[in-house]
Formats: sequence, structure tokens, C-alpha cells
Amino acid sequence: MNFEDDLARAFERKSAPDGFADRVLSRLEAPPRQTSSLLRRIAAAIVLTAALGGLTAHQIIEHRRNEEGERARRQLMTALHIASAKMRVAQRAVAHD
Amino acid sequence: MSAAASLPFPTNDANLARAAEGDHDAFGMLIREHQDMVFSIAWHFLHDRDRAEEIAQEVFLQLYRTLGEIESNAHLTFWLRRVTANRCIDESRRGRWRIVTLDEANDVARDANDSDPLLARKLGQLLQRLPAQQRLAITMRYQEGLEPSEIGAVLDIPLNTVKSHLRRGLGALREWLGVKS
Repeated sequence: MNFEDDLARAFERKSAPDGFADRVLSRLEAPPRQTSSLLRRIAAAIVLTAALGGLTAHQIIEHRRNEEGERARRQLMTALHIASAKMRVAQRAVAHD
Repeated sequence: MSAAASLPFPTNDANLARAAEGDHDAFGMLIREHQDMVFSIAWHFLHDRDRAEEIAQEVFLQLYRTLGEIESNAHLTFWLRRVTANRCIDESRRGRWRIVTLDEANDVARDANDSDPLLARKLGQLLQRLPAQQRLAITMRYQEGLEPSEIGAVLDIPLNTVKSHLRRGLGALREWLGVKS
């Protein structure tokens, strides 16, 4: 037996399973499957919700950061004012002496 | 080596036209005529009966939606081979097909010899180790009896690439089976 014959035997057509054509035809007659469409809509809703949620969270975090920055700036200015006032008092005291 | 010549349900173009107009009986005849070809291509590619049937069903459902574009029975056969091949490649890209491990394939090869009546089955199993395009080229050559130029048309690849796929694929199968060139 040569290799070509072995290949020809190995690749003989197989019979399709019994009832194959009927199963295809029944799928033609079946109402359109809603599942995949419904799943796609659910997936899209989840993605959209996640994106909006992410955006909102990002904005909240950004807002908090800005507030914290502003608070820190005000505290620094206050500290500088206090330090400046104390410096003036000290300078005056030195001048009196 | 044309396998199509001995089909039991010769389709004529009138039947094709009736199917295109929505005649389910005519479409059923088309399916019965070509189901073995489509199922076998998928089966040889995947070596998995259930998935081969799934792919074959999808091919015929796609055909039903495309019937208006099919011009003749020869075009139909060409279209079915091409779409089945494409779906097989898609399936392999999804990685859903059964992978034959190296050890498993080696076990098969170790048992093989020229007098083994199961050699054909073993060849089919070893085929699973080949890359997708080589597997399809060999299937089209030996299942469908296509010439390399016809295989190139079906798989939409150049003739030299087909020849290379066949040479490499068959060489690998020979090597694994210990068959001399």
C-alpha cells in the first residue's frame, strides 16, 4: 500500500450525521434567536455603565484633589502671613534694643 | 479525482433558483447533496464530530442567506468549500478545536506501519498537528481531489503557497509515520 492510497483512504468523505438536513431546515424555520441580540444589548449597557461610572469617579477624585490643593494653598498663605507678622514683631524688638 | 462526479443528488440550476426563492424542499435537496462534503471538510480539520456538525450547519445557514448570489451548481460547490474552509480557520483562531498533544500524536505514530489497517485513521489524527492552512490544503487535495491551482482558488492563496503547504504537510506526515519518500 503506498502513501497516496493511504491518504486517499484517510480523507474519504464522511457521511453527515443522520437528520443533518432536517436540523438545518428547522433552524431556518425557527424564529430569529433573540438571545444573542439581548446579550449584546446587556453587554453594551454594562460597558456604558462602567464607562460612565468610571468618568464620574474620575471627576469626583479630580474635584477632591482640587479642593485639597486649594485648602493646602490657603493654609500655606496663612502660615506665611503668621511667619511674616512674627518676623516684623521680632524686627521691631531688635530695633528698640 | 473529482468527488463531485458521483454525487447521488445532482443539483440543477432550476433547483438552485427554487431554493433561492425560498423553497425549503429545494434547499433541503441542496443540503443533502452537499452535506457530506461540507461536514467532511470540517471533520477532517477539527476531528470533532459535534463541532464539525456545528460548522456545517452554520455554513448552510449562511448559504441560505446568500443563495441569490450563487450563479450555478459549480459556483455553489466552490462557495461551500471556501466558506467551510474559512469557518474552519476562524474556529482554529478561536482555539476551540481539540488539540492533539505531542505525546498523543507520537503514540499514534509509533504504532503506525504499512500493514496497519488503522493507518488511515492515524493519518487523520496526525493531521491535527499540522498548521491550519496545510491541513486544509491536504484535505482539499485528498478529500475533494482538487488540483493545486483549484486549492489556491478555494483558499484564496497563490499556487506556490499551495504547493509549499502540500510539500511541507505531506513531508511532516511521512516523517511522523516513518514513511520513506
